[in-house]
Amino acid sequence: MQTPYSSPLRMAPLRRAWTTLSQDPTNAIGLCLAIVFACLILAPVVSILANLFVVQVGDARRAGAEVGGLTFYYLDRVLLSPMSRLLFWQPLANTLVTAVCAMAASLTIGSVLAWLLFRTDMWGRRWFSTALIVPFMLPSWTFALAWTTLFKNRTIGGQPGWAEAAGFSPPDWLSYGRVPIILILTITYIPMVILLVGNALRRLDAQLEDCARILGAGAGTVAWQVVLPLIRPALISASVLIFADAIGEFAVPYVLGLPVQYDVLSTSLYRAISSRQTGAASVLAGAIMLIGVMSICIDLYLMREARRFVTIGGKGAMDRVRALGRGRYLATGVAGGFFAVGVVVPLGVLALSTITHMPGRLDWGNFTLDYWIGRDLGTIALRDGVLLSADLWAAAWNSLRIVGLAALASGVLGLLVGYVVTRTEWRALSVFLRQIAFMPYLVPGIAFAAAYLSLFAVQRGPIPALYGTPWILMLALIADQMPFASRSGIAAMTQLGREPEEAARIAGAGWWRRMVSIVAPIQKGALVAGVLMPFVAGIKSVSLFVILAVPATDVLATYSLRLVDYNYTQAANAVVLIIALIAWGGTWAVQRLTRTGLGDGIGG
Amino acid sequence: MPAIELTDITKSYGGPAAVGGVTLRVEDGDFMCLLGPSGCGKTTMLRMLAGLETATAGRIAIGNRVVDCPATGVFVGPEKRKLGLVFQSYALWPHMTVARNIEFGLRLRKIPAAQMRAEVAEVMEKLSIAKYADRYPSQLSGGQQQRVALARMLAVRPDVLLLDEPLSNLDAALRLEMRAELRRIHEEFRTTIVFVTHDQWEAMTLATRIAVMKDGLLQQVGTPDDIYARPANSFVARFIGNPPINMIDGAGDLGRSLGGAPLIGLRPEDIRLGHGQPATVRSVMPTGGSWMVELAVGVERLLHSTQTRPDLRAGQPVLWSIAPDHLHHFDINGSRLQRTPQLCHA
Repeated sequence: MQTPYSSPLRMAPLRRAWTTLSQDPTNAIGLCLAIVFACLILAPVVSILANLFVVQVGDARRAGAEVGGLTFYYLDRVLLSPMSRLLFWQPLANTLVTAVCAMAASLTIGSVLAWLLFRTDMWGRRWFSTALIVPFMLPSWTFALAWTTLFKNRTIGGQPGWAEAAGFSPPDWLSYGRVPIILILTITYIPMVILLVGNALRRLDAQLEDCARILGAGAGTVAWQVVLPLIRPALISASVLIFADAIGEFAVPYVLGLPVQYDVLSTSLYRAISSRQTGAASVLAGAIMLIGVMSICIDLYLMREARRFVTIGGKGAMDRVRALGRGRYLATGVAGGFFAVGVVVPLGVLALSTITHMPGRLDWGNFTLDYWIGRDLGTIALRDGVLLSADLWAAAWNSLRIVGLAALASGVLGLLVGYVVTRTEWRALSVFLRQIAFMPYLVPGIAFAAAYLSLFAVQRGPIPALYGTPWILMLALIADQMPFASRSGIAAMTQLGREPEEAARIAGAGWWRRMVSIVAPIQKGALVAGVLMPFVAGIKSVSLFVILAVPATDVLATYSLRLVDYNYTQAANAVVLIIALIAWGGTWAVQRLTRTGLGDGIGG
Repeated sequence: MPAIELTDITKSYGGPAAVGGVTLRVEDGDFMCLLGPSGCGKTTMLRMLAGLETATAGRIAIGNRVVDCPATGVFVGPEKRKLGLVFQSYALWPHMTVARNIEFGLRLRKIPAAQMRAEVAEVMEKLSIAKYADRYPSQLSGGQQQRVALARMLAVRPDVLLLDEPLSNLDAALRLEMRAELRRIHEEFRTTIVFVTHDQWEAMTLATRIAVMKDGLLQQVGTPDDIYARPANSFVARFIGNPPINMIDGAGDLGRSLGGAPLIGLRPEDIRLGHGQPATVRSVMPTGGSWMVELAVGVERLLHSTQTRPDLRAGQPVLWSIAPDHLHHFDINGSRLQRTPQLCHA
């Protein structure tokens, strides 16, 4: 015996801690992750909420207190002052109206489409089940730009829209503001409903419906009393995902709301930040966060109610479909119609607009490739075609570099979170990591960006001022993507289980060897997907960049928004098409690599 | 020298102890089984032996080396314990071929390539899986996967081999085959084997010694015959034996007539029909090669099992008896009473 068992040593606990730690660094990695997330996620949120009550530089006289002192001036100004209607209440009402309308419309249409796709014998189900998801892969403002290209009227300058060119002058309510915003958000959220509800419908055992029919229930009763309650969890999570996303949506209201002063919270926040009203921005960001947190709480509550019953599914008999008879024509028409509205028309319009001089005129002489590859176009700025402009390539390189690195980091961090959460025996660490990594989900991108701005604009301890550098974008992107990255990491690690790795431990493999030989090769697919998903999301993302990017760190998204501001319609549309292509290709690659539907990656 | 020595081993996850002070010696060459219902702490014990869990208190020694002892701070990780563990799910690495799976441990030990190939070939030969060398685990059946999992651990010649529910994932025919295989491996490789199971058949047919556990506590350690013939308490008596033992309350009429201990156990196969006390047949159930007869003795019910076809119908009166030394007496706490019964209707 090396050590006498009967005489406990004073240093025993320390020695034991060290030996277990050196042989299995899971907990050490977990602690490091916890610290990193505390800085990346918790600190910015705390900082912006603190700004709410602290007098900002330049506001000392108005707030009637010293800079840095405590004040309720900002809350008062945004919520109660005569300015409050313009600053806060009207945008809040607009945000809620658009979010709720888009949610209701996309749930209704999406559920019908999901049912058609997964439970009926509609023609082309397989093809439609991928085709109808395409709008999800495109940045939402693709549709906004397509809309302006079609319906722009004389309220703002630049080239007229196609409708105007064809002799029909669309009224403001059709061209800008509430109606088109709701419509476009609906189109972008329908695929999410199809994925989530479709998954639930596919998993629903047809025997449950058969039982009800045998007992004498008609089709309507079956739908209302059996199917609907069973897919309710999917409907709830879809509606919360949509709502939470819609309240933070920036680009669509920015493009379509601005011309008629239709402000939502995110655009109001953007304006507050660009006019350097830090205190007001804090209030708005806090309000957006609050709505996000509230919607998640409602979700948690409803889900607990809905999950009281668990569907005990059989194995067979799942893929039974309902014969539509002559309704097949109608069903296929409806699905085809959505594909046309959601994919063909917007992309077609954008593509056509980039190769025509004058909008909407399809005669031969009007076509040109100048906007892509022309030289000396005779414009004030952007004298060359988009593909020949150095700005585009600089922005593309920035996008690739910043988003790529951030995505790589998110993917790796996500898997590490999954590793620690599934492996550590410290429950508190596992719970903390899971929750803090999920936190950015409650904070819409634009509020998060505002939080980053407030924290990292100046030097903090050892961290230099990051504003203006690519680092702030990368860190914000990483944090913004952690909910999804950590979720897929946890899912992958749970699926792997601990046993393959434990078998390697028993065989004598140390931690590093286990990572290299066992965990990484098995999780190759999950890792690639875990990097590609944040990459696609980052490429599509506008709200983070619009706040945090400076001309030196221009990315494709901000570049295209600036072209919109300058009314270079063709060039802006061309850049958006490039982004859409990258996003679509990336998502397609994820699906091929993981051989799973997107539905498994989001929410459900 | 014992192969494994557990001294007062305790494991708690904050709540009630999953393992509460178990002391157990596994001798060199033993084929030891940890048997108990699910949640009794047997798998936790196995994982502590392997080093995949740390003990909260107590001491574990493998060979002459202390591997886990919180009091002195010693902890040797599973990498350095030189033992093998075959998981219930087999845990084969899906991205490696059978041969690569088996090589893995040898590679880590930096064994020359030629020798490694020879050893891998030998162990694959012994487990008759040589023809699957280049296949991936997903291309193998459950039984073949288990052989690969065994080969992977045997290749490094562990001092102790740990098995988690070795037969429970196999179908009936394969179970018999693997049972013979495991006994052969035990002899051929001369390893000490410790396995856990909740299945008494698995325990009785494989093990040379069985440790019965319940609620994290050791109930009895002994040979399979020992445990069956002299259960240390009423839990062990109930847990071992199929059909299960008849337990009679000593306060009832039947109990008093059988000797009056607080609890009395009668194995169904120890009951004889033909003479003795009167009873009524309630039902006769064939179980394929043997028969179970349910008897009513006053308010009590007794199960009797027999290898010969009973010529009985429900409702028919019969006489029954049991040899006094076949009675199991337990005290009020369920512990076995060693006293010989004084009186019995034999």
